[in-house]
Amino acid sequence: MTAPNPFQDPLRFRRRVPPCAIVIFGANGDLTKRKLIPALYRLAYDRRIPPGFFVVGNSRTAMSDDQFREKMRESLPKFLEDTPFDETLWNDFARNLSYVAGDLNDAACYARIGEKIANSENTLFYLSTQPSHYETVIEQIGAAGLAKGKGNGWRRIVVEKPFGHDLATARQLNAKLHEVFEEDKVYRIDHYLGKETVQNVMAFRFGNGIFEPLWNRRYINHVQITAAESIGVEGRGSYYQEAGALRDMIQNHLLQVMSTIAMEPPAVFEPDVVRDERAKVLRSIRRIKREEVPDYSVAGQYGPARIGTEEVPGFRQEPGVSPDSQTDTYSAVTVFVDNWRWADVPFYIRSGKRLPKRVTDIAIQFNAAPHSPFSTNGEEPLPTVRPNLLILRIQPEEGISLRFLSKQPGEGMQLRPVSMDFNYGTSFGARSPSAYETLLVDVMIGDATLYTRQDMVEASWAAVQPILDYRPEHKADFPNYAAGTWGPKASDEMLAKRGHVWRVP
Amino acid sequence: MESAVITRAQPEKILKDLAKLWVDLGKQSDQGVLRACSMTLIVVIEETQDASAIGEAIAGLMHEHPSRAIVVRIRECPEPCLEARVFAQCWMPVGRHEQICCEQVEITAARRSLADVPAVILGIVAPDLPVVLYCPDVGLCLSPEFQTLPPLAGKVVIDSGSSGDLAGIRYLQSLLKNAYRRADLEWGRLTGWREAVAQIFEDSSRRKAAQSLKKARIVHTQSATSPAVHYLSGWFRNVLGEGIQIELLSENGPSSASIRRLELEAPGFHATIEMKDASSAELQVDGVSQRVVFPQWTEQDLLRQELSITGRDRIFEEVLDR
Repeated sequence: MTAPNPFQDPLRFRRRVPPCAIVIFGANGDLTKRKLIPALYRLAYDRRIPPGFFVVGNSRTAMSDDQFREKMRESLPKFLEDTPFDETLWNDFARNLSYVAGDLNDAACYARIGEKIANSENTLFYLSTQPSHYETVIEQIGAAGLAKGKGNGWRRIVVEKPFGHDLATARQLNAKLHEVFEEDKVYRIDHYLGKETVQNVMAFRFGNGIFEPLWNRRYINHVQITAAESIGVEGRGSYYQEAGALRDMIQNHLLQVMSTIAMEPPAVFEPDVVRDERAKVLRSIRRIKREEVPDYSVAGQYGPARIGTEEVPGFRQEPGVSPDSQTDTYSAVTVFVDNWRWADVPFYIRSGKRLPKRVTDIAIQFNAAPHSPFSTNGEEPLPTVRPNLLILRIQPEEGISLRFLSKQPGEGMQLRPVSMDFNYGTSFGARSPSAYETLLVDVMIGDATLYTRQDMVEASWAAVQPILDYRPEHKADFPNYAAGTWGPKASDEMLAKRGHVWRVP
Repeated sequence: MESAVITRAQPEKILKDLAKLWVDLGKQSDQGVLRACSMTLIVVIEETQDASAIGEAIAGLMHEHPSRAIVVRIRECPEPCLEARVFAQCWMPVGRHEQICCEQVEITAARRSLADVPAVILGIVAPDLPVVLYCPDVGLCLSPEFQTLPPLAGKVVIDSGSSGDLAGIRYLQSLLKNAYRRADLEWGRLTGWREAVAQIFEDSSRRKAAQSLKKARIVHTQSATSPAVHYLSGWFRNVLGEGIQIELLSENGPSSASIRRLELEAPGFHATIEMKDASSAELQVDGVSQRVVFPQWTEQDLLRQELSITGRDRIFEEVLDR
């Protein structure tokens, strides 16, 4: 084992990205121009890209290096969000972009990529292609001998979701990856885990002494996790039709968020220790029987509606979508974590498209006070038993709110709920890095804390597999909610069975 | 925005002025304002110092470290006087509709009234939040009148580079280690050099050479007793022990930085880091050269670095106390 660098000063030195090459498969796609290149450009803007760093893009489209650069240059200002576009910096950055056109099935394409990275000690392969091409690319990388690093260098691979279509295909993909890459070289990216506010959940829970004693079944009544989008499928109808909300959001992003809420405190903040704790939660999710699926999950699909002055099509009217599609554009599930901390505490998770607003948050509802001395005012019951609510807001207004009761000014003892807010953006005016900036730096320095591991992926598929098996056998009566509403009535009923109601975020 | 009148510096009066300031700000804005505060930052300067530069630095810091800033300006005048006025520093974050504002209190005190200042500050520090005292002028830090101020703070920041000798470092050393977290902007100016050295040994094949370094040659442009040279020498000794030979050489040259070149030697190993212009250096190891960026830190950048460190800076304190 190599001795640590005695000159390091982690308090003051920024984490240093080593010289490396990034090979992006599917470089002509949306992810590259919307997320990857803007994130890398921002890292260059922050002077975090070292000399010896370069990007090789690949896709089938014939393009020269210059054409690829021009294509990235055109779209970059649109997707930079909070970073100014600097022509001089771009010119420096663009010199490190090159392109190899070629079919993913063609061994010659990998030979040409091999020539480009021949002198690079470290190489990161980024799978940004259609998921159906993953296995081909992995096989070809292995066959071309590109998976073996030079000297002390490394070869790593980033895999975008979906990691399989169900448990069986996830296992098959993992097996294929392991034929070529060892598990510690595989980085399965879940950009939700790279969001500052999701990381802040850990800071909130494990950096403070006052919350953790309450963070269990004795004090928490239930948890609601919401990821709502106001938009529809936005031209991705044919892709989305094959995925649906359960696969697209809940199986990966939201179960990972849930595991961050429910995990035990890690002893140290190290990749495998943190991931072990997350994995334990995912493995502890109660396996539901097929006949129990209707009690634990609800599927929905939006129908046409008028929102404001706009006529909004239903999912089945979207381009590329079958008129009798059974895809869930809304899914809600009830999850139980069967361990001592969380026994019998429901975690309600919902995600949907064409809901009233774009919001992602986690609401922890505490048990109501066991007894209230302010129970009546002679007219009607006061809301004194309204429980405390802790809301961890992930987007768009990142922050934390605590709802509690307060006396209204004036005579008598009238109570009403008030909210105490911490706003991430205003308390720290500094810019937060995007999830992709964080995760790209992490993979280049070899920090897998925010990446998902094979066992985590398989455990989360196993948790939703009974629902996936059940739904194709039971035709749903879609559409069952109007665009612009909070989902199907059955979703409210699922909570009502346990005496709960969805909050309105 | 600022208060209309300069008032006598009484804590109750200042707090009332602050409350009124927020009411006025609220009335002026359709969307309302948010008050942000994560600490009290006390800055002590002589009236002759460039107040606008300090004001700019504080305004720049507010985005990342919103604070109740208390600027104490010391005036040379025969009469005792102690006056205060309140301001708000506001900005509109991109994509939001609400302004974010931080409070600023400016206290002007005759040197002979400085002893009265702690009682005023004590009444107006933001409750339950950290208090940081920043004194950019070493001469002022050493004055007897200043000594009543550090007990108000949990962290004391100076800039020993302002004196060019070791007086500032001696002053920091004299502060009780357990009572204060101590910081020096001059140490922050060395981050580029220290990071470049660390970068050389990030390559695992060179890690052995790090342990067997025999000599570090520091080529400076000022004096061998400048704070920068003192800190850099102390850092090498702290990392490698007293066995390392530190050679100090003075060299005139175009560089405006206090350190011009650094050479490291071990058996079979030689590395050089040399300033090439104001913001970049060349790093040469094993015959391979590489350009590294040395950002030109402003006072605001350096202060931002220090305010970001909320706990103890173990490495700095070890070097300081050597």
